[in-house]
Amino acid sequence: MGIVCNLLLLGYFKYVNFFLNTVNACAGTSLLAKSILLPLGISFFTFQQLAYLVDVYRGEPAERNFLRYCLFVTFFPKLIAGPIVYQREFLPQLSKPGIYRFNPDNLAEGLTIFLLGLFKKVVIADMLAKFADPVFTAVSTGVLPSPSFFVAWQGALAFTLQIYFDFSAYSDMAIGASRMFGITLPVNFNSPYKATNIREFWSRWHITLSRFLRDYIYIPLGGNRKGQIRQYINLMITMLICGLWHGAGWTFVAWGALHAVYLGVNHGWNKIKAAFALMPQRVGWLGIWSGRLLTFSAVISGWVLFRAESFSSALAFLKGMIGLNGAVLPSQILNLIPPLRALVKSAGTVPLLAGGTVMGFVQFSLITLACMVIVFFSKNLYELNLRRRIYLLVPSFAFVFQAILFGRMPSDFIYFKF
Amino acid sequence: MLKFNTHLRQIAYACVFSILIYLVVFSLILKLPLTTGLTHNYYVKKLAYAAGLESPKVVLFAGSNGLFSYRCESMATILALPCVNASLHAGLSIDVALMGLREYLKRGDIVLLPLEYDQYTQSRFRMVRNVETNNYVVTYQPKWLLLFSPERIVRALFSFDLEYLSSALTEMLLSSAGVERRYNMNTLTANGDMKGHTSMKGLEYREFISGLPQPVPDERFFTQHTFDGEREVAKFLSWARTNGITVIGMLPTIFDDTPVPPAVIDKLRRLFTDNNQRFLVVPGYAQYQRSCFYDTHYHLNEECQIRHSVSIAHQLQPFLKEILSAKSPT
Repeated sequence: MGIVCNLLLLGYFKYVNFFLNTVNACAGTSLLAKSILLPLGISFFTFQQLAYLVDVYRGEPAERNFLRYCLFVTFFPKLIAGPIVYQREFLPQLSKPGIYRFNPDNLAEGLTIFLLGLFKKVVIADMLAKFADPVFTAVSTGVLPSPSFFVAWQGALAFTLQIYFDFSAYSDMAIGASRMFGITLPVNFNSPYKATNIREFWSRWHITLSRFLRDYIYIPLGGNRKGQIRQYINLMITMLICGLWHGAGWTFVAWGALHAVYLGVNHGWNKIKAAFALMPQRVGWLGIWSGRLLTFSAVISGWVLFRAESFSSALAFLKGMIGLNGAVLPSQILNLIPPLRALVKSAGTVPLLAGGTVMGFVQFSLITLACMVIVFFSKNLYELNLRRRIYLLVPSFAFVFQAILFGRMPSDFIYFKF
Repeated sequence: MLKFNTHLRQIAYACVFSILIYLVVFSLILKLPLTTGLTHNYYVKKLAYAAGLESPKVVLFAGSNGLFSYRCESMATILALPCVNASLHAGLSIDVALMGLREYLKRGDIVLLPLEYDQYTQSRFRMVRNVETNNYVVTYQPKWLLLFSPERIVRALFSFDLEYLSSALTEMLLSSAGVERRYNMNTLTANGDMKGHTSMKGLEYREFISGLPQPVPDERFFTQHTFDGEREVAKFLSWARTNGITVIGMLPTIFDDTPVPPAVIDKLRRLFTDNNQRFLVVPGYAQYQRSCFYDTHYHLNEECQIRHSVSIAHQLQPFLKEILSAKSPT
């Protein structure tokens, strides 16, 4: 009953318009979409309550104190965009005697994580958005129906890095804010672009969602215990739900399906490797980096589908990225690298390509390179001790101070939408 | 408690140290040599040229509309007066741009002001938060900071973000490698006009220009509000009048696909005449076919720039004769 009520509420608030629009599109009806205000964090607290209900049903102790239960569901650092916490991780912490007392160690730990997370959001992710948003907007509004090679790659790469820093930032800030109150939340983001295959990616990206889907959907469906075909079907169902959870739109569903296909290919490849002993036990750096780059490319293609407003926009983007819409660069850049003229069309300016100037192009390349170095080579915050995190405040805090007090209005976290 | 003090104190030190490093690095070390630096070099060169001219002289001032669409070199001959094109670019907020313009002017000078429409509609909020202006003042004109309010000084000092850092590193790198912008010190005439932006070179922007929107202001928006940009212009007009300087407002050059609403022109005319200055509306309202533009709106190509300037100069002749004879002591 509890599960049904939770799902009905989520369905009504998040999916009723999606359902009506789909019916209208398929049946040619004109059912009116409703004006519904989405409750803050509904996707997150619904999943958390579902997990709680299932856990209690399976025999875990129920929380009898209503206030503590409310705190578990609505604890503000994690309410809006996760992590999705299980009751066994959260509720016992509320019973610790020291939890309601001020603890300076927790404050120092939490504050550094929070400030460094804030840096990732208001300084790095918001800067990357300036390169991604105009391109996706131009494609979806028809201003740029066929993005050329470099423009499409700029949009896709910038969004790939933006969502990385945005979600990483939110996860850090949630964990940091929570830690200041003495509550430890599970790590939700663990350098996912370092993954060498798509399974590993999902064990590093939105970790608490992945484990929820595994524990409460994939395994109850039978997981890999009912044969290979059934395993692929279970993967597909799980990832379709994952896509739909991210957004009430068919592009999100397709994004989930694409990742299900990736996971299926990965499982199939592992089986082939095992059957034919294709790969050595120890994989060298070439193998690691091949896997990493292949996974990264697959993830980028997925993000295009995730970010695009429609299938036609996504298709236009993907066509651009494989060069089907041609390649155009400002003549200034081609003057610097004349051999490129054989492959690339020249134009006076390509405004969506980092302002259409040599400086903009070099600047975007430098920013992308720097972000890639952080993404692929640097340790994440949880691999650094407090002293090192304090050192990191020296180059970063002033930018946070600048952005919050004197900068442009920071944008919302991408995951707030979900 | 000792550990508490140590860690929290270390965090506080790190934050303060971070801000100090930020202020030193951005105020004294990092620059944008190819954009803001070039603007400053233009300013210095034009100011030096103007300093060598006898008054009365003609000073033409706008954003890049003045730089690309007007040719003092051609106008000076027709007007028989020395002329300097003091235009920089419209990215600078209007109050600071006019602050810079005052340094050119002496009693008896005549200012031509074909400001872009969006210069008039700037808000105080936008001026104070104009990153480009704040960067320019902190890096190249720190003495102008003294003319700012305390809030604006702090805003100016903290106007540098990570994007600026990456721009500065890029520009310093490219500059040290000898890369120059399309516009540089060599594309400026002695009078301070842009040169060399021929229609032939402009062909590669033709497609881009054909897709640009017309920058004519919305009539209702423009006429039903009084903007801070207008107030700044009015303040300047009043200052000019007090100091014996004549200002002639003019329309900026834009595409001719839609006419400029008469109410907009009336409002601009009133702004100038209410402050005892003048406003010149030329036949055709300074509107030209898109093929006359070089790389964006407000930028005529060189051929049209010269043609437009010659036409403007001829229409200014009777105006100037009247002004100069009124000022003449005989």
